[in-house]
Amino acid sequence: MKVKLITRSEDDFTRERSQDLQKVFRNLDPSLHPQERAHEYVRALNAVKLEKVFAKPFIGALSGHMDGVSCLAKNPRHLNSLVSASLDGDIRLWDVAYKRTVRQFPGHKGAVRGLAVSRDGEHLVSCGDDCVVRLWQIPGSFVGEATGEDVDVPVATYQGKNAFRTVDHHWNSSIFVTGGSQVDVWDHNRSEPTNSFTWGADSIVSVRFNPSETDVFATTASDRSIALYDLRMGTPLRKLIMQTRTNMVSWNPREAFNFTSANEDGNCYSYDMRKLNRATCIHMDHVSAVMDVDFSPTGREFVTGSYDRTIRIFPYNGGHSKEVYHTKRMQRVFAVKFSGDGSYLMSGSDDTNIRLWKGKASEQLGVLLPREKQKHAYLSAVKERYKHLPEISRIDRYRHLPKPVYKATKVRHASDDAERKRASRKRAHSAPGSIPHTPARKKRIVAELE
Amino acid sequence: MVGRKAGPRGHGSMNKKQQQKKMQKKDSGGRSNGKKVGPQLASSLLKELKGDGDRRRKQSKEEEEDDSILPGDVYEYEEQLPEEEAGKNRRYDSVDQLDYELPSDFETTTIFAESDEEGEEEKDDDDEEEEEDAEKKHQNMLQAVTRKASEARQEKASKRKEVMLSESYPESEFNLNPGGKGSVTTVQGISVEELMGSLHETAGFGALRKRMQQLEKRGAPVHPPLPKAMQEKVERKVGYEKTRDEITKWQPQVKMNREARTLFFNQKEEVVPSSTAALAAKFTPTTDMEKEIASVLSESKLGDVKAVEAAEALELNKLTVEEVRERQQRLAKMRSLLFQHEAKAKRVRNIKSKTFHRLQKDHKHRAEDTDAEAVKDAALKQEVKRAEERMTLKHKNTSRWAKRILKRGLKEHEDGSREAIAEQLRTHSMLTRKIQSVKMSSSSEESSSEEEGDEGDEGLAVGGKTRARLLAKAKMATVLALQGDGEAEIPTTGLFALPFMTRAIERKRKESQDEALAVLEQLEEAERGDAVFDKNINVGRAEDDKAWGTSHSGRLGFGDMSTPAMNPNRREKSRDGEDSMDEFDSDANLSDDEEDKIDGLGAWQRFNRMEKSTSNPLPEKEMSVAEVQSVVIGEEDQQVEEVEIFLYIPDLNWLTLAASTGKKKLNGKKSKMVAPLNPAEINAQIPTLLASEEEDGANDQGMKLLDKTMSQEELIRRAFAGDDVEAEFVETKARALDEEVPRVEGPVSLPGWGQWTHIQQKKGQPAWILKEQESLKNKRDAALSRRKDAKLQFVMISEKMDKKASKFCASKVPFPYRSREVFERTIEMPIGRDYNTDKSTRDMTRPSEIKKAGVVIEPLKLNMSIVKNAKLDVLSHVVKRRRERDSGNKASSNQLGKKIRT
Repeated sequence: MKVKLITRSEDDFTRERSQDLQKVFRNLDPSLHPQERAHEYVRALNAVKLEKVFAKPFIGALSGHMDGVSCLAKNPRHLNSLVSASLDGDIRLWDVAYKRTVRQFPGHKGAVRGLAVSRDGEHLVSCGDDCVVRLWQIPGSFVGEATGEDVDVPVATYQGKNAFRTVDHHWNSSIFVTGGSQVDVWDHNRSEPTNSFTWGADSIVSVRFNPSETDVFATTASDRSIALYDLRMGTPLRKLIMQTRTNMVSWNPREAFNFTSANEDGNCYSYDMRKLNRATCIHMDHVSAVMDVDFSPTGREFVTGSYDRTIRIFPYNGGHSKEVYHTKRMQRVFAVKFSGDGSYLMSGSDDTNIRLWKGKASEQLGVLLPREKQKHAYLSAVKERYKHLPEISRIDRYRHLPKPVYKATKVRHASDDAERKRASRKRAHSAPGSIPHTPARKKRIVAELE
Repeated sequence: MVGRKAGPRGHGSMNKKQQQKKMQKKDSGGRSNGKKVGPQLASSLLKELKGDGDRRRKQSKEEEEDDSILPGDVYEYEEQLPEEEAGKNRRYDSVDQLDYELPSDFETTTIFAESDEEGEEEKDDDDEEEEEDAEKKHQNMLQAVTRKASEARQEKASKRKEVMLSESYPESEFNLNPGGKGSVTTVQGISVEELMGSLHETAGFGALRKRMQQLEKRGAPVHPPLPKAMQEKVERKVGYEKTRDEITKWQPQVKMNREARTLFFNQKEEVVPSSTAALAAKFTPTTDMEKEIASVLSESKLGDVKAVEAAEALELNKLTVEEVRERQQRLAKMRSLLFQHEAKAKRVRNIKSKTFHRLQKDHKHRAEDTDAEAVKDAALKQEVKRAEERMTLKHKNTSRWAKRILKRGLKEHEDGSREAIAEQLRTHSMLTRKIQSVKMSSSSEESSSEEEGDEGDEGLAVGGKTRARLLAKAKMATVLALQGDGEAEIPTTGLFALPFMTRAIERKRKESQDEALAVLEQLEEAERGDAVFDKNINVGRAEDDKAWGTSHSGRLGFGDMSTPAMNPNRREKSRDGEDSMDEFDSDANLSDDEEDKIDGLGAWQRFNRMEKSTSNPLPEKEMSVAEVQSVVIGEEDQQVEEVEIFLYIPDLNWLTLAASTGKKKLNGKKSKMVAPLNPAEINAQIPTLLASEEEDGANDQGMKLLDKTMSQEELIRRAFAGDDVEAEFVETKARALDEEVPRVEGPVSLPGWGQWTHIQQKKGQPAWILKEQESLKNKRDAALSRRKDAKLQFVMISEKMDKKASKFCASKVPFPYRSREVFERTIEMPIGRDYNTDKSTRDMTRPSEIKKAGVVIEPLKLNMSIVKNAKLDVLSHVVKRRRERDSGNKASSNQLGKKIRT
């Protein structure tokens, strides 16, 4: 006769070392877990609170420039390589990991206005107020700090008639585009622009190539316009005129036809380039002009730097920022960049510093154990699940703001409300239909020019 | 100067001379152009002269020329108006006056040069006015002389400017008269005709001329190019459209990414393990030793690794002779089989006999009928066909062919087409015939068509005659069954041969025989009691069937409405509520088997029944919610109310009476009530219930069974006797209100306090207490009146709020969710490891983006397979939609003005 016994092998449950993990046996019977939702809610609440505790986004500052940082460019091949330029004509190559200048590129007289690195990460294009575009060689590997002795000489110099305001490099070929009084298309190997576009008389403020549909690029100009161009067509495509100037555009690297523009009115507007008559999304929260915008390479979020001395991170389809970064000493932000892996931010501001931030404020840096990863994933999932509950959403939403920004926000809200109220009253007292209801996404668009 | 001065004075005498000169001048101009201009013979004269031949003509030409030089020689020539003055084709510059006084030493060659500068002043004419003019000019001249030289020069320059020609044509051999205002088409320029003149004899001249004529006919002017701004705009527009279309190719990929639960970035690219050959191919010798080895290898012709590899691969690929032979044989066999099949199919196709094809089809069908799946498929196919027919009315003489034939009249055609039309109509009626139940669709069709003859006239009303016939038939079937039972022998082998099995079979058979006998008895009884049929409910099943069937379907019946058609419905019912029904139909009962025999229905009904009975997991006794009746009367009435009445019968079970009436008493509302009743009442009420249900719809004969006298209200009143729902609700509401807005006890005086003298007693409660109580009452009343359900007598809206629970409730349904239920569902199940398996936890908690630390994320690359798939998808969608639209159009056009029977 066979007798069944409940046995427990000693070997299976003895740890060899004290660090060894023991398997936990769980009974998944739902009747044994009557409080499951309550448990998870509490976990979510704790996770949100802990997130606040650990939210320390500032990593460090790269100091060295003697004037406000006007533009940044990241190296598409190397994560730790960043190029910055300042308003005094200084261009620096940084080793981000060590927070030090690796190389300087002297040559520009007057402010440098545009920087771009070629796709292969070997060439740097800079342009500025001195009407010169310079092409530099970026050293492949760098050791030690720049001493100022090894002076880099530009590989090529291109002379223009007017001051240049911006430059961007093609994502595939050796073509770059400058903007100033007109849009010029240059080749590394030609001294003259291969093509020029003019449409209207105003100066071009920014130009950005589309990373995925590489021959398409967008410019913004001081006539409050955003214009689209196609190198294959050899012609401008379309122009969108808004009520206020657009300072910068950034293409979504994962959605070839979508781009986001940083506007002077403190909002960012996302557009589908195929339907320019309305914005796909308005991203608001800044209280002053947005100076720069850059998409994360994941295409799921973008960072903006504003004249109100804050940096914000927006979801690509969200109306409000999910994060705001500021420090006491950071001045007007002129340039922001996401790092190539989408987990860090770089910001250049008027206070001559380049600051390094985390993409997620409370992210744990360094190598994570699988268990830690799982824990983080679980906590964020739980948080996501209960984020609509009042307590959690309140804690999650809360951000401390500098007093001037906070007050300015209030003022903006008040004025917005007043305007809305005025409009509604006007509508109420006018003949029905005489004052049309313009959706907010269309309101700021003046015209779409063909 | 002298000449000039003399000019005006002697101009009358000079007139003739001037004319002469003028003619000379003109002639010289004509000659210089190589053209015949100036004085010529009159056309009539020329015609006359033509007759004399060439020689004569040449002569006359010479004469003409002579004439022109020496006027007044052969004939008088009077020019009516000089061509330049007539201004015919604007061949000449417009000059006011062409008469000048010429100096005595006049030379033809210098005229042009001088006329520019001085010709103006030398003009004069015969007229008096002209004289005055001339005098004026003279004055001007004097002035000009006396004026300052510079001024004069200026004037001259300006004058020169006036005369200056704008030559829009460059000087060239093809444009000989650049100064002329006329273009190429003028006589002085070169015309196309002239150029073509020299080509008269060459081959292909005709074609050329034709083309020229065509060109002239068309003569469309070429539009000037658009202004640059417009041009650029057009370019931009086209460019934008092109780029827009181009960039849309990313759409499917973007969509996919957006919908993805998790995005994976910079994942490791799959490293294809490269072969040694590939590695070797890439290898370039760098060190000395490597180079040396490479040179040795190349010398010995072993260096080319690729070649070696290829040779090896070829060696390995070789097949044996046997393998090849086998393969060839296999292929040959397949080929011959294919050929045979094709040949056979072709032969069959060529056979024109319809009978043959029908037989073949039947054969095929029979093969299909054997298994249930095929039967189901066939039914489905048939249903599709029917639906199609209803939609398109394809066989109802809608085709062009049919219309044409009908238009011409059927008589004129030979029998063939008439038959064809009749055939079509038959098909139509077959396909659109109302079928009572899905189960009747295909298998019963043959049988019903056979029975059409005798049952066709059977409609809603079940005439006594038909009933009799049916009864006879049922009887016959029962007798047959009885005989069959008796004849059937018990198996002698196998499982059924076991003694207990045999016994059981015997018993079963006996039972069924008994039942059959009972049925037979009933049938006979029914035959006898046909007259009293109307008032008796407890009749035999067969009749009952009919009544139920006709009333039950709720639809007007058409065509084939024989008993078999109704039976399935009936049977379902009886199965569902067998027990309860048996209580009512106390007398007669048929077992299922016998019913089958009566019906004579095919195997597939039985199959259905089997399915049905097995699908009911609960034992019938326990679960006897019997849908006794569901009558839909008056389909044309839009407001069909449904009153569901649950009757609780303690001994029996639950009964659901679903009665639908067209009455408007309970307009648009659906009420559900529960009422306890005792069985006695039910027995009394059911007939009346049914009667009242059916009184509206009512022509059915079967409904005569039921009492008509009772009204709907009465019915409901009876059904809910002793059930005061209203009072109960009021009470409940009051209780709820007390709970939510509690009555607060105001201040009261102590009992006995101040009541010991009659004076105080008189005073009653002190004023402040009364006031307080009053105010409290008012407060409560105000709170009650503020409630949402204050004015709604029969509605109770709870306004209870649990503060502690509110912490766990979202204030409203958050954005992406539409309804509360969906949102709640998302947070219903826990996701932690304590409650789920490891894998499901991982699945549920996977973050939306997964990226590797420290690896650059590249921009999106175009995935052509996704693009292609999306294109295919779109294409298929388009095709589908188009097909749908087409069929829709077809249907709608066909159905125009026709009623669709559904």
